[in-house]
Amino acid sequence: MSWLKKQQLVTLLCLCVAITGCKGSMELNELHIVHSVAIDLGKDGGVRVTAEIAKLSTGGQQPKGMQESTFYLTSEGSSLFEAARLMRTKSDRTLLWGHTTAIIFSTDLARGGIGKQIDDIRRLRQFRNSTLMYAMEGKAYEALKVSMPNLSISSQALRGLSEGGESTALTEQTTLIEVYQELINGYKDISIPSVEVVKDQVDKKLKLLQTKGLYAFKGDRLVGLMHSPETKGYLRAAAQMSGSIEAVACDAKHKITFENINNRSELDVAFNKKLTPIVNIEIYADLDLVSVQCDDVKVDPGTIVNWEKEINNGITEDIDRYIRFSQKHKVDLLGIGEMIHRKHPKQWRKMKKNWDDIYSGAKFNVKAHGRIDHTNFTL
Amino acid sequence: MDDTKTMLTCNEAENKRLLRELMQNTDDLVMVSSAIDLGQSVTVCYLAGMIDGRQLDQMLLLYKEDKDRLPAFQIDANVHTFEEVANGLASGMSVLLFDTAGYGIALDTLGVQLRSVEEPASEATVKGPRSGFTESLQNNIAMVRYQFASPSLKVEYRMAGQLSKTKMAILSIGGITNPDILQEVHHRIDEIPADAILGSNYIEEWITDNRGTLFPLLETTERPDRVIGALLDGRVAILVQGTPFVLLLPFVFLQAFQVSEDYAWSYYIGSLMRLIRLFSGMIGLLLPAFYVATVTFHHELVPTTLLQSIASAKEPVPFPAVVESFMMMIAFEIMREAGIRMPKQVGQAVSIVGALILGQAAVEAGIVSPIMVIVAALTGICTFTLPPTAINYVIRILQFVMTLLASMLGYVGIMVGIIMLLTYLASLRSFGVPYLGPAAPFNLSELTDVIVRRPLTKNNKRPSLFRVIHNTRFRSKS
Amino acid sequence: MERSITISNFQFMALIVISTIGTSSLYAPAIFAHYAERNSWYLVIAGGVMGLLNLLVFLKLNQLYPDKNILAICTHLLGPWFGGGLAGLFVFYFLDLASWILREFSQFFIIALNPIIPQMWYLIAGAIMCAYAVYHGLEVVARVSEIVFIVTVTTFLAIYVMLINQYHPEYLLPILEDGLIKPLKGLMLSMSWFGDLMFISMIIQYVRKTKSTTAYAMAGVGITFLLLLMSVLSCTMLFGGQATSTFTYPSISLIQNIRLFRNIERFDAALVVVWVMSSFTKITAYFWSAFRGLSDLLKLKQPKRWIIPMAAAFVICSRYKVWGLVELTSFYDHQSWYFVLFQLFIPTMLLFIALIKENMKKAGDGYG
Repeated sequence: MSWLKKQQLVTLLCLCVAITGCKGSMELNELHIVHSVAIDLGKDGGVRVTAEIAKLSTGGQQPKGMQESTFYLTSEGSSLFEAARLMRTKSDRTLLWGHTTAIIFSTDLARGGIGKQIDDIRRLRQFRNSTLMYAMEGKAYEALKVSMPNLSISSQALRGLSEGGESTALTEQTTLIEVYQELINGYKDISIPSVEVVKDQVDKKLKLLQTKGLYAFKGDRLVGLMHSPETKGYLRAAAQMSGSIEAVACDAKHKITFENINNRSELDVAFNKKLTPIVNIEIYADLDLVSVQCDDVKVDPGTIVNWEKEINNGITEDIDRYIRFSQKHKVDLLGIGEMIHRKHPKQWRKMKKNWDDIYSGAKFNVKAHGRIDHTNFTL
Repeated sequence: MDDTKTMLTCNEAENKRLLRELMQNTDDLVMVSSAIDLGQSVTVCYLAGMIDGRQLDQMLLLYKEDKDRLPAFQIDANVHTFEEVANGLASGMSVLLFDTAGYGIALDTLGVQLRSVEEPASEATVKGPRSGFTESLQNNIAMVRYQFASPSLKVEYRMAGQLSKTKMAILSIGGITNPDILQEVHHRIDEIPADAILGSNYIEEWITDNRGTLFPLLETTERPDRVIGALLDGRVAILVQGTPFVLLLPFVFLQAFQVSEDYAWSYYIGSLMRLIRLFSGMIGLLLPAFYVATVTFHHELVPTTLLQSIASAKEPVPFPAVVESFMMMIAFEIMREAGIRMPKQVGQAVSIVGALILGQAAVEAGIVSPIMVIVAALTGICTFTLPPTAINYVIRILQFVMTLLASMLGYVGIMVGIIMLLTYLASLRSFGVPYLGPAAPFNLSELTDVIVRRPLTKNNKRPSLFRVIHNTRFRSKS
Repeated sequence: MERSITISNFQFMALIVISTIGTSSLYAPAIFAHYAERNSWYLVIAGGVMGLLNLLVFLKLNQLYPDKNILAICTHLLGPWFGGGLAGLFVFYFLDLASWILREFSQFFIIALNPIIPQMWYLIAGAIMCAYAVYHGLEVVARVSEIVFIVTVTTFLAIYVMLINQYHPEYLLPILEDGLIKPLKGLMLSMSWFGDLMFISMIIQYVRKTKSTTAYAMAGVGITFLLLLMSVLSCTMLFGGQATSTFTYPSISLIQNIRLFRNIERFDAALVVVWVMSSFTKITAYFWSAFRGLSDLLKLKQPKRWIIPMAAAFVICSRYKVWGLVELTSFYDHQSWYFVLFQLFIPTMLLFIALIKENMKKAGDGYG
C-alpha cells in the first residue's frame, strides 16, 4: 500500500513541475494577427516582407470583427523566414501568421522564381493550405494599402475578389497548397492571378483593387501575363470556369450579350508519326441570353443557331489565343505532358526531355459546342 | 452496546424499572398501568408521539374482548427480552407488559406524521407519472407494487446500523435478476458495521465497489417508475426507511444520461433528448478546457473573423485565459451553491447580483472577457441537463482538471486527460459489471438503447450487461 | 489483476487495428510515396499480404501452444538457456519498441503543433498516461482500446469522405509504369508497419477463444489494410505522388484541406485526438507486453512497483535515442529489418522448430 502511495506522490510531483513550468502558450493579448502578406524583392537579392495587421479596438460593446482598421509592418532579410522573424523587432507582440488569407508576390520577385519562398512559407507551418496567392506588377505592398469601400482589411477584399472569378472567368482562386503541389509534382505549370491597383472610374481619388488576368509560370518563374481573352480561354479549356460573359455583334455598334452558365471541356491527346502530339479540345458550353442592344431582333430557332455559331467562333478564338500564348512561352498550364504520361507512359519517356520544344510544336484542334439554352424571357 | 439479553421478569415494577433504565430514563416513555382483567394489571408502554392513539385504543379494546384474537394481527406479538421491548418501542410499537407473565405483547401502532406523496423535486418531468417516493418504507414498497402488480416482485427486509436499526427493503424480480448479484448485495449489506444509517448515501458508501472513487457506482432515484424500469432490466433496488431516495444497482456510466421521461415521448424525441444530454455532458466537461487550449495554443482553428472578435474582447483583460476561466467557473459554482441554499425570498437578489455583477460589470471592468462569460454560462447550464446523479458534480470537478491540463499542453493535454479518464472509468466495476459498458465491452445492440432510445416494439431483449437470467422481454407475434 | 484475464474478440481486433494503423497512417503515405510515388497503394497491398502471413504465424503458434506467450514458447522450444536468452531479447525488443513509439508520439506534436513546448513534457505526459493504463492491467487497456477503435476509425473515415470532391483519380495513372518489382524496394518498411501487431503474441492467450477468433484477427488486419490503403490513396489523389513524399505528415495537410462553410478549417485538432488515442493504445500494448515479459522472466513478486521505473526509463530512452525526426525516419527507413526480424523472422523460425518438434513427437508416438 505504501508503495502505491509513493507512486501517487511521484505522479503528483511530476504534475506540480509541469504546472509551474507553463511554457509555449500564447495569450491573445500577446499576439498580432497577420491578415495578408506582400512579398517584394529587397535590396541585395533579399526579400522584403510586408504584413498587414489588424488593430484591435477596445471599449466598444460590440466587437468589430473584420471591420477593424489595419497597420503595416515591413522588414527585409535574406530569406522570407529571416524577414518574418526580424519583423518581430518592430512589433510589440508576436506575429500570428496562421490567419493569413492572401499572399501577394511582386512580379519582379516572381520572375526570379517563387519556389524558395513557397517552400519557406510551408516551413513556417502556420500558414493555411487555403491561403490565396496573388501576383502584382510593381510593389506588392501597395496593394495592401488600398482600402476598399466596405472593408478596411485588404485580405478580405482579396478573398472576395477571388470569388468573383466564378462569374467573370477573369481570375481564379489559387491556393498555397495548389501552387506547392504543382511545383513539386510538375504535372502542369502554375498560374497565379494578378491583382492591380486601379482608380475608380467615377471617383478618381478612390483607389480599388482589381483582379483581372493570370500570370503564367514556367516552373517557379513568372513568364508572362495572360490578358482577359487568354485567361478565359485557359479557364475554359481547363474546365475551371463556371460563369462568364460572351458577346455577339448584331450590328455595327451594338452587341447581344450572353451569360455562360455551364462549361465542360474534354481534352484528348494523340500522336502523329513524328510523335508530335495532337490535342483535341472539345468545349461544351451552355449560355443564356441576357442583353439585346439592337433593335428588331427576333428570337427564333434560326437566329439562335446563328448566334451559337458566332459564339463558338468566339470561344475557339479565346482558346486559340491562349494556346498561342502558351506555345510562345512554352508553359503547359493544361498539363498536356502529364496527360501523355498517364495515357502513353512509354512514348512519354522519349518525349520527356525536350517536352518544351515538343509542346510548342504540338497541334491543337479546338471545337466548341456552345448551346443557347434559355433566352431569359422577361417575366 | 453489549448483546446480552435480559429476560423479562414476572415482576411488573421490576420490569418497569429495568426498562426505564435501558431506555436511558427518557422522558417521553409513557407507561400506563391498567387492570384489564380481574387480578391482572397490564402496563401499556409507548413513546409519546410515535404512536397512533386511536389504533392503540382499538387494539386494547380488542384485547379486552378476546385475548387470543390480538396476536393474529401481529407478526412478532410476544416479546421476551428487555432489548426486544426497547427496540420495539424505539421503532414506534406499543408494548403490553403483564404483571404475571414473563413476556410482553408488541403492537404495531406506528403513527408518525410524514410527508404525503408529492412530485419528486429532483427529478421533475413534463410527461410521465408524477408521484415520488416518501420517507415511509412501507408506502414506498406499496407504490412500486401499485405500478408493477406482479407476484414475481420479491421484497426482502434487512436491517442495518447497530444503533439506528434502519429497516431497508431489497427489491428484485424473481426469474430476471441474477441471483449472484442479489447474493452479493445481501452479503455486502450484512457486512455493514456502521452504527447508524441516516439515508441511502450511507448504504451507498458502505457497499460500493470502490470506496475511493469520485464516480457514483450506484444510482439514486425518487421515482417509482424508474425503479420498476431498473428492476425489469435485471437490476436490484434498495429502499431505505426514512429517505425517499432509492438505490439502484448495478449502475453503469452511460445510464447517468438517461431519464425515465425518455420513454414518455416518442422514440425520436427520446433519442434526441438523450443525445443532447450526452452532448451537453461533454460540453460541460470540455468546453472551458477547449476554450483555453484554443485561445492559448491553437489559434489557427478559429475562423479569422471570430478570432479577431475574441482578440479585441480579450484585449483589456490582463489575466491569462486559464486564470480567467477558473475565476468564472468558481464564481458560477458559488452562485449555484448559493442558489440551492438560500431561502426563496432572496433568490431574486442573488440572481440580480450574479447576472449584473458577474456578467456585465466584470466584463466592463476588464476582469473577464465576454467570451469567457459565455463559455462559463454555457458550461454551467449544460451540466444541469443531466439527471441529478453525482455524475453532475463529478463533471464539474473534472472540468477544472481538464482546464488545467489544457493550459499546460493544449489539445494534447485535454486528450491525455480524456484517455486517463477513460482508463479510470474502464477500470471501475459496479457489482461486477464493467462501468463503461456497454460501450467498452462493446455491444452494439445494447448501445442502441443507451446512447439513443430504441422503439419499445424493438426492445425485446433485456440488457445482458446485468447478467439477467431471462434475456427476452417479449416475443413479437408476427 | 491476477484473476483470470480475458479479453473479447472485438477487443483483440481493436488492439490489432489501432496499434497498426493509428500512428502509421499519419506518416506512412509520405514514406510509401518516397519509394513508389503514385503507385504507393501497391506497396500497401504487398505489405498487407505480408501482414496477413505474419498474423498467421502468430495464430499458428498459438494454436500449437494455446496457453503460452511467445516468451514461454521460446523457453519451451529452445531450453531454459538459449530460449531464455531469446525471450530476453524479445523483452528488450518490446521495451525498445515502446520507447520508439513514445518518441514518435512526442515528435509529432513538436512538428505539427508547437515547437516551443519542450519535448520532455510530451514524453512525460505520454508515459504517465500509459503507465496508468498498464497499472490497471490488460483488461482495462482492451476496453479503452474499443472506444479508441471506434473514435479513430470514424475520424479517419470522416476525413477521407469529407475530401471526396477534391480527389483527382487521374493522379493515380499510369498504373505501375515501372513494373511490379521496382516499387517493392519499400516492402521491408511496409512489412514492418503491418507487423506492428507483434504484441499479440503476448496477449493472444488471454483472448476468449471462439470459432471466430481467427476471423476477427483477420478482419483486424483487413481493416488496417483498408484504412492504410485509403490514407495512401487519398494523399496520392489529392496531392500527387511527388508532393506527398515531401510532407512529413501528409495526413495533416490532408485534413487542412477540409473546409466547411467557407471559413471553418484547420481541423488539425481531430488528428491530435487520433494521434493521442492510437499512440496511447500502441505504447500501452508494448509497455504491457514488456512489463508482463519482464515480470515473467525475472519472476518478480510485486511486478506493479516496476511500472514507474519502467516509465521513467522509457522517457529517458526516448529522449536520447535519436536527436531528431530526420534520424528517426532514416532509422525506420534503413533499419526496418530490425523490426521485421523480431516481428516475422524469429517467430517464423520458432514456428518451424515447433512444427518439427511436434512432428517428431507424433512420429515417436506412432512408433511407441
